[in-house]
Amino acid sequence: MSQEMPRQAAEKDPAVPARPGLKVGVDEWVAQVEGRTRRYQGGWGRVAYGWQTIPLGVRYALAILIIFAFPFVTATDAVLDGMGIASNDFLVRIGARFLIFAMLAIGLNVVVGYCGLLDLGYVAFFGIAGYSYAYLSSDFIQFAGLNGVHLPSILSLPLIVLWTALIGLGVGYVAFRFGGDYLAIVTLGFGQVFLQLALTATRVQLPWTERPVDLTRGPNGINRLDDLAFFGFQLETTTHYYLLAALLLIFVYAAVHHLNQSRIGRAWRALKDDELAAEVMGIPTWRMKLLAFAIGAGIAGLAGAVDTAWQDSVIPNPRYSVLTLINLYAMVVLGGLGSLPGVVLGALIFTTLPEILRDIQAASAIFYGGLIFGLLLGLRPWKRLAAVVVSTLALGFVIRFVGPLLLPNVEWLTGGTDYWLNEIVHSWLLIPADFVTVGNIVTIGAIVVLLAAMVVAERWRWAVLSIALYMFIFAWETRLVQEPAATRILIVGTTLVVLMVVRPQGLLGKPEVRVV
Amino acid sequence: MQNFFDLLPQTLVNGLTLGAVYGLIALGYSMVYGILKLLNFAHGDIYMLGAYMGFGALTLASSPEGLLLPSALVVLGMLVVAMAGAGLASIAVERFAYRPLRYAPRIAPLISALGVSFILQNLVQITVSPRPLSYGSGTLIPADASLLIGEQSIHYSRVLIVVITLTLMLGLAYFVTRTRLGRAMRAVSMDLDAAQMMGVNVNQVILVTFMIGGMLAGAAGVLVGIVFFSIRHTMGFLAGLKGFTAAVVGGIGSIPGAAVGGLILGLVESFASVYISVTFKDAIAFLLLVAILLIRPTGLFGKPIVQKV
Repeated sequence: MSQEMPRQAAEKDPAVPARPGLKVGVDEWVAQVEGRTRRYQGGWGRVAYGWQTIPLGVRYALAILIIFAFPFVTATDAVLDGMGIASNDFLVRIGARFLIFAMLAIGLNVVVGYCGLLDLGYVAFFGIAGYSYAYLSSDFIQFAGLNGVHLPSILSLPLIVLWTALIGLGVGYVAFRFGGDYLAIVTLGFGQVFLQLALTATRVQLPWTERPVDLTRGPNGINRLDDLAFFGFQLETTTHYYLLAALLLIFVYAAVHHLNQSRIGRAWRALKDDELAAEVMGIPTWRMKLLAFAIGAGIAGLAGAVDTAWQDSVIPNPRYSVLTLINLYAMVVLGGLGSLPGVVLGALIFTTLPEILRDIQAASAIFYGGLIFGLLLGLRPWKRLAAVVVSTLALGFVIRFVGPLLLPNVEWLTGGTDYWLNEIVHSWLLIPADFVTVGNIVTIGAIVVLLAAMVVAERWRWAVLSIALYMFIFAWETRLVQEPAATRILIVGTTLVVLMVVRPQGLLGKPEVRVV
Repeated sequence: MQNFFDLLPQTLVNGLTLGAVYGLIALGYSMVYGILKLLNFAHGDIYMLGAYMGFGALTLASSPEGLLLPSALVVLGMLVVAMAGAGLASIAVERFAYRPLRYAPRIAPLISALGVSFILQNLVQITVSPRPLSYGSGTLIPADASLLIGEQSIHYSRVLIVVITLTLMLGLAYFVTRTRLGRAMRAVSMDLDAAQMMGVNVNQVILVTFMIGGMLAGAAGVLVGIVFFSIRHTMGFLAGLKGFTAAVVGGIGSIPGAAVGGLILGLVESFASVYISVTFKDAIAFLLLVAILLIRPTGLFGKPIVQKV
């Protein structure tokens, strides 16, 4: 009886879930050793171990080689013919976006991951850099006796980085007066105000002008900007910008890595864990926070200037909107807060996944693959897994048989479509020809049933789960495939929630240890 | 100056209307923050869900010729449906997206909340419509039905929004100060662990808090639909932001503070857009936030934070 008690208590109190991420009351060193031994178990563990045994320098060299080889390898005829495309411009474009977002994510990681400051106005620095570049390298500025400003890039880039870092200092100086969560709202407000001004400041009466002046050209943005040019070499093609972004990313990565290894990095981490204790230990917390903020803003400035020059325009919405901010947070958190390789990995996933999901066939493959992967991981005793899979399949066949008998007047969709996976699913799934309304209801029903499956008694979970599974497949085939744009974000959102519940430290992050 | 007084009553009414809505949203933010210290970024989308639930009820109650029931009954029905639906959705969000993360690092529930916000918005976009929907101007309350005060006319929908908001807030005040569950709620917001040791069912209290917050937000969604006609699946984000700002202005965690903060924010926004510039209305509201926080770092009604070492 006495042995049973704690277990029952743990099961009864859902507020204290058994989470693998957080270890309460375990020494940090012990937790690390435990984590390390656990990490190298099983099939994945062996792969991870093999990867770990490669020297660090070789690993980085490999990554850099892949990054630099990418635009040239994809330009070869073999790859182009294999993918059935005429030019690799699209691929390099995605690659360049990944590099720029990786830079941004590293900057955000300094603020949020190392220093633990919840900065929700981070994209504003990205945007300020964009507008600064536009002002400094186009014909836009036509007042105050100027007829366009065309600063050489070698001047304008450092200037913009410095300028955004300064603004970061200023915002931090005001925002840090409000401790904790107020920082989040003040920075969020800052970002929103920046976006609003960028969108609406088209008729502003400046003190020294006669007529109202257009400061931003509103939602259309400023275009026709100069390309970046260094020492007489002008960057023109996407590949040029890709290579520049790659160089800058490596520079930023190395700089931040070494900063994190230094006294400053240690101070940041101490500050994140316990600000009061850090201050008592003599760490100048105020200055350290300002430094983190300024460095983050400066990196965003660098990324913003390059991005703007590459895009040849600044268009505020949605590039500087909260959507981008959320994307960045998703990258940083998915990869693992505080882990540089993790953050870059997160950026890679979040810039390429939406592009892959654009293609319906690939999206279907990912959906079903993810479903199977999730089932394999989530349902541990294989008996339970088998029960769910078999009952789902059986449910499908029963509905396929009974449906037409019960509803003789309804017209059903017959046969699959273009593609083998689709064909298999359609030969199992019964879909009415007029499926939009039913699909909508089932889509919402699927989520309700899935949530119900999580709270229902263990004994019945398999049954509810298989109904949910059936409904999800139905919803996917009827509605979700039809609305790829929304479905993409839906998948991203679901990933975030599930990831946070299952692994709050992110893919490559270290689990947090709470010493009690 | 003539112009100033001409516009004054209408601006005042607009501000009050906006303020009522912000206040209702802010209450949910504030209550949840008071108990869990959690920024519930999905709250704005609960408000959006409420607006859509109200739209669903309206669609059920109307035919091509007009309403099937008296419009007062329809409005009441819409409010009930929206509050019930939004309350349930809010509970579900707490149970599945926040509760497993209650002892996780601070940023985890925040990211989870962003994920929930994504899910709700896009679910509505897929299953209902990506386009704005209209409550229909004049179907519920005829366009010329106005209350006359002196020479000024105030549309009944504006009166309705203020009356319903006041009723809901008074009901909430009664619940929090006079009932057993309300007392438990206050206890939990003071000290969660101590309340648990005193035998308060913390999980239940948190669920009730989320439910009430969701219900108020759902009501706000319907009211906004009635006054401004158009609803959209992305409307939750900005409204949530404003509600949060209002909660912070009033002192986050304080219930009267949220109501007053909403009112202040609504009035400032409406006055700023009429008398200064529409362009800078958000910037002015934000500057006000910063100014208030600089003078009173815990908001108007907030208690000073005492840090125990």
